[in-house]
Amino acid sequence: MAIAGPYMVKYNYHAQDLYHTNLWPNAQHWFGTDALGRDLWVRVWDGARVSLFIGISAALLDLLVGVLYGGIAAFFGGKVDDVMMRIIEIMVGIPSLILNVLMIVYMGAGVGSIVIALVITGWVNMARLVRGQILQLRDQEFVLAARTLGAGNWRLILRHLIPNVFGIIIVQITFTIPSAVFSEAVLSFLGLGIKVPQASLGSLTFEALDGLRYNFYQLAFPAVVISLIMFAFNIFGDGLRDALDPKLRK
Amino acid sequence: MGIILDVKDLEVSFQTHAGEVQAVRGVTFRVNKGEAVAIVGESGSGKSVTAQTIMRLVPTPPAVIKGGSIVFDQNVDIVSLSDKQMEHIRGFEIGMIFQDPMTSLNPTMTVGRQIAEGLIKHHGLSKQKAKDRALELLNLIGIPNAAERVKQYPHQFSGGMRQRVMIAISLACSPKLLIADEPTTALDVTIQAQILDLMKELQVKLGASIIIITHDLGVVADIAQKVIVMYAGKVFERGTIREVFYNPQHPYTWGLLRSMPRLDADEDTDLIPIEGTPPNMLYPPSGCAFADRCPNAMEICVKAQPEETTLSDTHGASCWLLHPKAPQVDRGLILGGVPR
Amino acid sequence: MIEPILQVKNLKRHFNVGRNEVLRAVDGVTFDVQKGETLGLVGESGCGKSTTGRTIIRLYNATEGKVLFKGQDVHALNKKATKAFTRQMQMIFQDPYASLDPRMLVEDIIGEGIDIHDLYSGKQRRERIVSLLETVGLNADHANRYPHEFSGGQRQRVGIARALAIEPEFIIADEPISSLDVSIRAQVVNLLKQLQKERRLTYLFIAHDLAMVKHISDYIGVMYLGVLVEKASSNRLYERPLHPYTEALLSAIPTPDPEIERTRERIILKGEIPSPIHPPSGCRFRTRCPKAMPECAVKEPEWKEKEPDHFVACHLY
Repeated sequence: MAIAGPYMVKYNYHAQDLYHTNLWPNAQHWFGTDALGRDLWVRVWDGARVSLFIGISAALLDLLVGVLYGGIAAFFGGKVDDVMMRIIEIMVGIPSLILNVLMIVYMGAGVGSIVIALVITGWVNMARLVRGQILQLRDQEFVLAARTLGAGNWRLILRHLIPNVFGIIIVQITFTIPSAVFSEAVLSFLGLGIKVPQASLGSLTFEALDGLRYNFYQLAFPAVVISLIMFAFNIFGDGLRDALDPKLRK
Repeated sequence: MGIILDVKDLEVSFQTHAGEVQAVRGVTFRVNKGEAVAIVGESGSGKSVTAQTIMRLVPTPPAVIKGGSIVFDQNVDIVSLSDKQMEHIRGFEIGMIFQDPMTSLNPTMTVGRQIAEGLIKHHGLSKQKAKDRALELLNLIGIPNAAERVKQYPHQFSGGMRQRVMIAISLACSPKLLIADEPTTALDVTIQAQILDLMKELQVKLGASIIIITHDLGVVADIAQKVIVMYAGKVFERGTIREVFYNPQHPYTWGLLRSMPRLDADEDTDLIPIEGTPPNMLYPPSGCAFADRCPNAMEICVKAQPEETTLSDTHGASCWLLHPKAPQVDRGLILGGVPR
Repeated sequence: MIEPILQVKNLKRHFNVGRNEVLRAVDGVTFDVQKGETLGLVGESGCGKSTTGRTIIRLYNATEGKVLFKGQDVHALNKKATKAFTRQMQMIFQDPYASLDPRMLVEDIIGEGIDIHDLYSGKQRRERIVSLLETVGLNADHANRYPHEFSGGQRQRVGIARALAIEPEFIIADEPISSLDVSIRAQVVNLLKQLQKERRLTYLFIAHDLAMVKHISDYIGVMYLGVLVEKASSNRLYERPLHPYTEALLSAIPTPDPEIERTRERIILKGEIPSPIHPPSGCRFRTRCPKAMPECAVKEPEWKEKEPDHFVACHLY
C-alpha cells in the first residue's frame, strides 16, 4: 500500500546494501564520505538498520511487558490494580532520559543495553493503554455473558479480552517504534549510544556535528532518514488502526 | 384557528460515503395554533430529521433539503432563510426540547444563565431582568427552591429536573411553537408522568403549539390532539387521535396498535407483532416502503407508492387499500386484541 | 408443596463507593419462583432489579442473604457444581450492541457455551448451531457473520440462541427489549413465550415496561430503591394494587387509548427518586408517598403475605 511505500523503498536500498556493508572503503560515494573516508551511503543505511532494529525490539519488548502488566492490573482490579498503578506512577516520576543515561553507563554502550534502557522507560505507556482498554472491556456485557456461560479466567483473557485490545496494541506499536528510534538517536547524539565504528542514525548525526559548517551533507542525510522513518510509521499506524476495526470491514 | 406550521412535500437526504440516504421523502402536514401534534415512528422513519429540519439544525452538508417547503406562522419560509435569520427564529419563535437531558445542557454554565441566554439575546433584556425572568420560569416549571437552584450547575440536577430546565430554556422567550424530540424517553415512568403533566399545563397557560416526537403511543394518547404516523421517510397516516386510534386506515397503524401491550388487556390476548424490519434508507424501495412487511400487500404496492387518500378534514392515509378498486379487508383485531 | 426452583431469601448486595459510602443496590429481597413460571421484576432507576438478577446468576457475590436454586445455595458451590449450575441458568442481556463480542463470528458466539461444556464438536456442533439459529428465526448463513452486520433485533435473537445453546432450565432476561424498536419488541417477546412453552423454561423477566411485563409474566414483583414493595400475580397486581407505589406506577403508564387517557384518574408522584446511597429512613418510599404516616419514617415495613399469594411491605397493612 502506498502508506507503507516509503518504508519499503528504504528496505530495498538496504537489500542492495548488503553487498556494500562489508567493504568499508568504497568506489561509489553517493552520499559522500565522512571524516574518516567511510562511504556515507553505506553508513546511513546501515545505521538505519541498526536504529530500526533497536526501535522494533524495544517496541516488542515494551509490548510484552506492558501487556502483561497492564492486563493483570486491569483484570484483577482492586488492590492489585492499586499497587501496580502506584508503581507505575513512581516510574513515571523519574525523568526517562536520566534513567536511560544511568542504565547505559551501568551496562556499557551497545545495541543491547540501549534496547534494555529504552524498554525500561517505555513499557509504562503500553501498560497504561492496555490497562485502560481492559478496564473498559471487562464490564462489557459480552464479557459478562461469557462468564455466565461458564468461561474461566483464561478463556476470558485469551478469547475475549486480548483479541479486542489487539488492534489498539498493534497501532500503539507502530507509534512506539518511531519514538524509540528517536530516543536512540538522541542518546547516540549525546555520545551514549552505539560503539564506534558501528553506525546508527543518531551516532551519524553526532559525528557530523564537527564538520557541520562545511560538510553539511553529513548531517542532512541521517536526519532526513530519521524523519522519514518516523513519518512513515506514523502514517502506517493511522492506516492500520482504520483497517483493523472489524466494523469498517464491510 | 390559524396555521402555525405548514409543511409541504418536504424531502431531506444525507450524502454519505455509501450513497444518498433518503431520510424524508415527501412529508406534508399542518399544525394549528394552540394544538399539540405528535409524530410517531420508529428509527429510520425520519421523524427526528423532520423536526430538526424545521429548526434547520441539520448540518447541510451532509444533509440536503431536496424539495418542499416549511412555512412558519403563515409567512416565514424556513427553507429559504439565511443562517442569521434562522438564529433569530430559534429560541425566539420556535423552541426545542431534546431527548437526552444529560447531554443537552451545557455543563459549564449555571442553569440560570442558560435560561437567561436566550432572553438577553432575543429580547434584549438586561442581565438583571433576564435573571428575574429565569427565576420566574423555574417556579413555573415546578422546581422547588428556585432562588437557590438558579445558580446551580446541571450536574446538580436529576434527569427529570434537567428536563424541566430544558423546558424552561425552550419557553424562556415565549415561542409560538415548541418542538419536543422524545422528551420523556430517557426518563423513568413516574417522572415521565410529571413532565407530560407539566407540558399539558404549560400548553394551556401559554397557548403554545407543540410538536412532540415519540415512539410511545401511550404518550400520544395522553398529550396530543393530532397524530402523524411516519415510516421510512413518509407520512402513512395522520388525523386526530380519535380518528387514528379508533378508526385507523393504514396497515402499519393497525400493526403498531396490535403489537403494543396494554395494561388493561386480558391475559389471553396475543401481541401480534409486525414481522420483518424497516427498510434501509440507502436503498428505499420504489413501491410502498411497508410492502414487504404488510400482511395485506397487493401487487401494486410493490410497484408504486400510494397517494394520500383524504378521509375527512383532518384524517388522511396513504395506502392502496383505500383505492376504490381495492378489495375489502378484514381488519381483525386491533388495539391489543380489543375489537372496537 | 413442590419446592420452588428458585428461592431468594433476604438477598442483599451492597457496593462500596467513595469513602465510607455504601450503595445499597439490593437491600433485602425475598421471593420464590416455581418451575415453568415467569416472574417479572419491575421498577425504576436505582431500584436494583438488574443487580438482583446478576447476583442470582453469580455475576456478583451476595453481601447477605441466600439464593437457592433447586435447593442449593448458588454462592456456596464448589468448582464442579458451579459448572453444572451454569448449564442450568443462563442470561439474556439488555444491550444488543454490547452483549456480543464484536470480534467473534456468530457461530462461535452461539457455540461458546457448547465449547466450554464440551457438549458437541465438529459436524454435530455445527448442526446444533444451525438449529438454534433457525429456532430464533434466523438462518444458517447468519452463522458466518460478525455482530455488526446485524440489526438490534437480530442481535438480540443471537443472544437468545446463545443462552439456549446449553439447554438451561432457567433464564434471566435483563431488559431484553428496552433497546429495541417498538415494532420489534413484540417479535422478541413472542419468541420468548413460544420457547418457554416448547422447552418448559422458567423466566425471571426484568424490565421497566410494566405493560410488557404484565403481558409475559405470571407474577410480578415491584421494586423500589433496593427492596421489593409488592408481589402478586399479574392480574391481581393490576386489579388490586396494595402498595401506594404500585398504584402510582400503574397510574403513570399512559395507555394507547385516547378515551381512557383523557378520563382516567391520575396519581402523579411528587419529587424525585432518592439516591440509593442515602435512602430515606424507615420506608424508602415515604418521601413521595401520598399516604405516608409518621410511622413510616421510623420503621421499615415488613414483607408480609397480606392475601394468599399477594405480598406487600407497607405500614398501611
